[in-house]
Amino acid sequence: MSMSLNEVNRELEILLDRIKRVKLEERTRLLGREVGAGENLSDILYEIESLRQVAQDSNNVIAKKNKTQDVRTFENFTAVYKAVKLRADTLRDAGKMHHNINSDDSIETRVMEAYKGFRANIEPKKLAMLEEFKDKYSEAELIRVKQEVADSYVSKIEQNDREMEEADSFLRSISKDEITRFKKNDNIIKAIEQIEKAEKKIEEAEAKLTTLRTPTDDVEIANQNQIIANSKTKIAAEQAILNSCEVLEAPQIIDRDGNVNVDAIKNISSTYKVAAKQERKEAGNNLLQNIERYYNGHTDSIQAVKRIELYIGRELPDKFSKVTLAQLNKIVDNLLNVEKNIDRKSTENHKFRRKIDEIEAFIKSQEKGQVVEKTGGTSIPVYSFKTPKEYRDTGVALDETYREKGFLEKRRMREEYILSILPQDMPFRRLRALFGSLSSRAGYALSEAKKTKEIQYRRKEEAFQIALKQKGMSTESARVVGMKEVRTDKLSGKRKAQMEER
Amino acid sequence: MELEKEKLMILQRLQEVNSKITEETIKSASKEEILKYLDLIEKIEMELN
Repeated sequence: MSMSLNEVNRELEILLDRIKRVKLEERTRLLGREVGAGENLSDILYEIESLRQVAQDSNNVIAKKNKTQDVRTFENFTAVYKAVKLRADTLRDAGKMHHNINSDDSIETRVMEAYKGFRANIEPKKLAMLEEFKDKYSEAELIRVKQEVADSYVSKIEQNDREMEEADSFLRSISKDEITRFKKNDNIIKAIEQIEKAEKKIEEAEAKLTTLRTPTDDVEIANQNQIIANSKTKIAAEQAILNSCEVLEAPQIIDRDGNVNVDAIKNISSTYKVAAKQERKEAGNNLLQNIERYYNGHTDSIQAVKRIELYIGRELPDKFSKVTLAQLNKIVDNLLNVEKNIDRKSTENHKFRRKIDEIEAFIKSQEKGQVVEKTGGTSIPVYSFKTPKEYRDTGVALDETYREKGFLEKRRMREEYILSILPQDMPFRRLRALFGSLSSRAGYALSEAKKTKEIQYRRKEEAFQIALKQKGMSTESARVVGMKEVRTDKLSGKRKAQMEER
Repeated sequence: MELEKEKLMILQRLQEVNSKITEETIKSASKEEILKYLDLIEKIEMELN
């Protein structure tokens, strides 16, 4: 019976974990075993030297890991360290025993020198740090450390996002056909490389198998067979990816028997590269670089989110993955500030307050690692809120004249403010779900505010494109022009009217 | 010896899982699942080597 690839992946994750455990156990046992009375001295010296290497390796890893890395890694290395230390002590005693039997000063000197070298590599400070790691940090400090790490990853994500935005903007300026062609080209090259790599692995494994014959080689034979099986599946999977490119290159890539024609693909790939240079010269090269940057950036973001999940100890909701708790707190502060300015007796205010309570409850649940359910059963909706900076960049905010406005105007401004801190692409029905069943007038105000905001963004984008393409400005300068366009629009009613006319 | 047994069991299970991957499995899988699979077997191979 066949399994879905999803099930296979789950199973493989479990097996990978088991393999890691076995390897660690094997290593620890090897290091911790006792010295026999008749053990050869040269073996002892050789082993001390090996242990020194292990200690050095562990030290290097710990030096890189630093205190903020995950506890499990530390625990693993603590175990290795302890085993190494135990073994080294036993070996030293064994060396001394040899000395007593043989009365040869040079033997003891050699053992002690080797041992001394080994101790020098252990670094007691680090050993103590490892052993006391858990006691050293209080629960709150650990959370803070984890938060710091998460924050640093978030800033990395933001950096990636900016780069992705630039790459996106560049990609938008190029025709869709061109992008599709290059993406396919890129995937084809990668797939071919993987296939060639897998084929080489099969060859190597098969060659190795011919040298393994005795029953004691069982594990290694099974190992090599596994490598061959994996490589074959990998080739099939890569061919499946190649098949997904067949829309463009079907006649050349797949032959009549359904086999992949590697030579044809290579020819097509090089043709495309030449064509890119001929057609757009520098632009062709830039395009390749930007696509590469785009995908690299994307992969980094995914990895960063995975790391955050690791530190928080649970999965982040999809849309929540780019927001830190600190940012969420800031958003709630903003919401509370808005609340202070609205009529406390109105029914809407109570609903609003309830929503804030829900968001606060969610933040607390994040800190405790729990899942909070809203009364009534459904979970609290969580969205990718904008960061305070992004919010400022929209140019929409509650201004000083807020208090002087009438009730409807206040309400409109408030809704606009809320919209400014929510994701641009959030559907209207989800907005309503988030803020409860607002009256139809409030709903109308929301939709109007959203339209205004969309217009602002369109203008910003238009100004950006004009500055970039027609005026030949740099991306950065063009972006500033775009921002100014929105701010000018916000500040001047006349300007707004003119823009609408246009 | 126990560790050797465990190793053999893991390898046998790997082979079992592998034998359950058919052409249908790959055809019906998403690109993400395929990429994840490739990543996992690469990691497993690294550990085994």
